[in-house]
Amino acid sequence: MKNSKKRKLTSHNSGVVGIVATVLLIGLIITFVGILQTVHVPNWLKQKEAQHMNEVQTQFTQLKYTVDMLSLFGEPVSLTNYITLGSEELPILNIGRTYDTLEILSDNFMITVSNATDSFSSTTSDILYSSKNSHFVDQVLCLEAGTLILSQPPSSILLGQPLFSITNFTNVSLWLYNIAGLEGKSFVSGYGTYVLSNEYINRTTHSITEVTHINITTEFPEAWADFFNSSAFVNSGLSYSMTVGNETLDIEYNISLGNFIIEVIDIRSQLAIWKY
Amino acid sequence: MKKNKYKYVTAQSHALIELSATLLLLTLTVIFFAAIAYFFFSAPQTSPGPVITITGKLIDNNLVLEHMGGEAISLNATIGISFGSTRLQIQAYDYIDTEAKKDGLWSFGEHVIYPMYIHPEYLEAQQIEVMIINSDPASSIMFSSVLIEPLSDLSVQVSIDPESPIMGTPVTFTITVLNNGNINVSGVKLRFQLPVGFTFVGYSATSGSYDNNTGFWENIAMIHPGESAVMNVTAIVGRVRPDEITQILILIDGSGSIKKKDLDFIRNGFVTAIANESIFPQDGFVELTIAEFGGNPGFLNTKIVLNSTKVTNETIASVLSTLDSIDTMPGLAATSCGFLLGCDTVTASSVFTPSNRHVTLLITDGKADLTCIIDGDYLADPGSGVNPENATVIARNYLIDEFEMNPMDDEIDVIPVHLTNYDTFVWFKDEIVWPQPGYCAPPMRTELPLQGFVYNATDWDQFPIVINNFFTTVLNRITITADIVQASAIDPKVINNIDGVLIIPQSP
Repeated sequence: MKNSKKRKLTSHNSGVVGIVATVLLIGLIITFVGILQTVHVPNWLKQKEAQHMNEVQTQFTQLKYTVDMLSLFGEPVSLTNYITLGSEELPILNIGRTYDTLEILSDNFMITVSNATDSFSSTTSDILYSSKNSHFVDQVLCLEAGTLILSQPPSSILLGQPLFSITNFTNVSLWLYNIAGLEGKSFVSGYGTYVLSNEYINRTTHSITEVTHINITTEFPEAWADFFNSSAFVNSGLSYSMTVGNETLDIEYNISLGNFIIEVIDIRSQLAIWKY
Repeated sequence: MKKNKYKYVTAQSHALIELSATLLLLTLTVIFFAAIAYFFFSAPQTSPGPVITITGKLIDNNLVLEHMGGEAISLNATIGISFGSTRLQIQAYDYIDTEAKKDGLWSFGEHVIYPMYIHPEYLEAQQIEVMIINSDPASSIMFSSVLIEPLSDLSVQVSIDPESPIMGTPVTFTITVLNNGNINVSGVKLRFQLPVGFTFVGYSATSGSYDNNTGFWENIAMIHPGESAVMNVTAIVGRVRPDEITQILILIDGSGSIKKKDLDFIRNGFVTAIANESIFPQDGFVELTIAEFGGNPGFLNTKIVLNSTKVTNETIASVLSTLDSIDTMPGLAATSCGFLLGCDTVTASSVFTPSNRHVTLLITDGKADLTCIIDGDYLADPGSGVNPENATVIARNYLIDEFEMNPMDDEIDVIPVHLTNYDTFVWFKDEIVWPQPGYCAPPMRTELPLQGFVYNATDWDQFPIVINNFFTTVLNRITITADIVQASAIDPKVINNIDGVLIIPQSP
């Protein structure tokens, strides 16, 4: 009796080995996948989000090119740009999709140019893109009054300056784009490629002489400081002092600018409610 | 029994063999995957390198590395710079501003600025190669080349002694070339041409040689940052024949405030000054246009008293006769109408070109009272919504643009007569005369660029003296300039590369 029991037990030894081997193999695979998920996937996602940021930066550069061309044509035509919101998820693993926002912010920028007795103010809107990254640093891209700005709050830098010229060392011409959004078509949030349609409306010219003071109200004062500190202004021999605040930029010229001409170009932009 | 025992032992051996084989297989599998992980994923794994964009550029001979987006990195990052045969290694921490050092990170928008100009040999190289290596984790962040284009900042200053020289006597010009930049500049060549009529006596210079025939001062020795080269040129003052046409536009206020007796002073003043050949050239180098403004809305507000005429020995009689018959235009001061008509008349002249010298003189006794907009009819537009003073400024700016006025040569001046309101005087000085800033004369300035002046006459009986002084100053003024024409490094700040002086030679 005892011998038969013992025989039964020993005859099942090979079955146990198979199970042990399978368990060990599964453990190995799980360890491998775990290392992948915790170490490499976040880095891949970060790279993907950074790549997406570069892609949006390129699209905003094209957007600036579009509004520059519209202002030069001066004809009531409409040109379209595409902005991609959100980055794709990783294949197979299906993780890492992000969602961004694109909006047209009204009256977000104001410039006041003044001399001893007179002043002129202009208020314009911004086209603002904000990212919602999960691994890469969040960035904001803004087309403001014809200037392309990149911001990683609280700092900002100038990527593309507005159209301007300086003649006779003291006469300044500055082109500002007043971008007006349509109600109901000035905000979109999510994932996908969205159409931004831009149309030239008209242009008005304002001139003010012997300018001594420029004040700007904006969310990105450092970027505008970069513009007014650019070599074109510095090499024109103008002497000035500049104060950069939280949301303001103040410039005081020691010798007045001869003639400050501001061309305000009205552009109507609308975000399409459908996506491609 | 023996057979069963044998079977049992055999079965156990099989199980052991299988177990061993499985364990061996697993061990091999683990080694295989570990090898893959090591070779392809660089195990043992540290945290991945930062995703960052840094741009390098050369600004004013400083290497500027700017964080243009992405994650922040430690200021312990090492920056390798090589140019020519020079190899440098610096730390970002040492060349970033104090504010940025607070958090120990090189963050978005912050600049590392390395002064390349402390290495004079960098001017000989074609490009700078830059590599930035992050400290933790150690990884190369950026490798790029920056093309070298050294920039200089030279300035010129010219002075004269005495400031009011007498005809036929010596005068000494001092020309100074100053290096305001941060690099050595060689091969500087400067142009300084004495006017025809001046007799060259001699020169002395700290370096280089001056050729009076060509007007060039060259072979100037290398000028180090903060240092200068100086040249003195002595000449005998002579009568100078102008080399360009001067188009003078006079705008006269003929409105109701001008009395008949005032008109006599105006006519007498013009005739006396213009008839004097030593004051007003009659060799065809001056073209005179006179426009008058006044009148009431709905009537004529401006007219041409003297159409654009070159003043010569042949035309002088006719010009004087016209000036002697100037009459009033009772009404209001339509100053902007006068500016617009006068400007369009001058530009329509057959001798007009922007390169001519343009002098505009406004003679009035008060601020503008009527508005004229730029609609081509030169008639008052009282319902335009533009106030008369703004309309005058707009018309004045229109004239500046049409004449393409330049501050080294052209000007707008005002002779206010019998002015009682100080605000009006300030308005003329700050908003009408050109170039700005305006000033009150006399005395007349002798520096360049020019500045528009307001020459006040207390009453109309002073007008003949004032207009005589005006023509003497404006038409006998000699402009002598010096400018840099060549240097070893590009100077983008051209505004200070030219300077000059104004001389009004006095009669002996």
